[in-house]
Amino acid sequence: MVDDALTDLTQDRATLRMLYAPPAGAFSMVDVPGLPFAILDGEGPPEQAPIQAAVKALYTAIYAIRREARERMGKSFVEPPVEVVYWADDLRDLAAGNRGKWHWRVQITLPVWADAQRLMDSVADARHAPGDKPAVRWGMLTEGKCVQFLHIGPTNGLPEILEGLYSHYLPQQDLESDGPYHEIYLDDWSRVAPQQRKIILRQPVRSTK
Amino acid sequence: MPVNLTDAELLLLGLVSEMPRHGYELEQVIETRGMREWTQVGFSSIYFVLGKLEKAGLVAAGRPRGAKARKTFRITPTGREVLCEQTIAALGSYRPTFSSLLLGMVHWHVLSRDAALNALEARLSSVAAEIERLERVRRQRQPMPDHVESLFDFSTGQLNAERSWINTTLDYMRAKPW
Repeated sequence: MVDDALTDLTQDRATLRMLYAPPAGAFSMVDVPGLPFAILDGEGPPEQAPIQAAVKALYTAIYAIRREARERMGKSFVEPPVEVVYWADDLRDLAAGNRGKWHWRVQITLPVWADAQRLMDSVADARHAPGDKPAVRWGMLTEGKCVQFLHIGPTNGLPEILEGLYSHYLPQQDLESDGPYHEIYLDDWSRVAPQQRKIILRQPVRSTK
Repeated sequence: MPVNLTDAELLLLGLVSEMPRHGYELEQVIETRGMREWTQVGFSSIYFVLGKLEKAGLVAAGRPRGAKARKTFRITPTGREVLCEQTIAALGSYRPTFSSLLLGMVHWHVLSRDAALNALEARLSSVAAEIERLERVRRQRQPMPDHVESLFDFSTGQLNAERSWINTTLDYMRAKPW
């Protein structure tokens, strides 16, 4: 059963482009529809090693779904990118880059037919060692109005963009944050050089007026 | 002059083309991606092969920063051209590989009927085990890009073809009255 509230990105190429191929190097607005996700919550501060391990665990867990997706969609199949969501109990810790106080989770959009049960079947099919099953959960997320920015290059360029977003762009546009900030990684970092890596920064927002 | 690269040279040239890497890093990538399953490139030969590629002008070594820093190799414009040409050649032309099965079948008659049938049945289980092993490897290696997934589809497809051939042949040989 397909829930009507979910957007089928394989049918809606315009939304797909808007979500994952925004103009590079500038802030733009986007309306993010309800999408189903496989989600794995992170533990501890967002360091590279645990994030990488979580990303790998998540990809392994949804492997059966991705394979089925490839078969069912054929030429229209699109590999959804992995996203890492960051938030802090106190927003100032996020803005100030106090990563020790951040929380995080990794998530990947699923096809609309992959419901919670299908995800559990996929996890069971992943051939994890006993006792080593990741706590992957299914969730439907609707972010709504967001500001996003496509950055091409190494991650050390990100703080400056975030500073520009929170200190300048949002106030100028009469907007404020409305939900956790996230980064969408369009490339596999083990295969793409830092100068060519594409990262979408996305921040849900609401009007202050 | 057309360049003809060995498998190991083409493999390393491709990895260096992704991003500049040093020798030890190349070893790690080859290991994590399980490339030794289908190519022969030893740890010690990595530096030898890199040296050959450097001499041919296909890769260039950056000067190490500091005494302990490692030498980083990056692809040159010529290297990139050669990589494309060689990839087209690798994709475009069929290179036959010969299975031990051929010699086994040719000499079928030297065995008793039961010994031959048993041996072929044993092959069936080892093919099935290999299909299952590839399936596990595939999951351990997630995430992989789609062109690498297709590579696994290719290997599994070949094994499935062999499995179906063995089943047909076993049926035939068992049914044969003499």
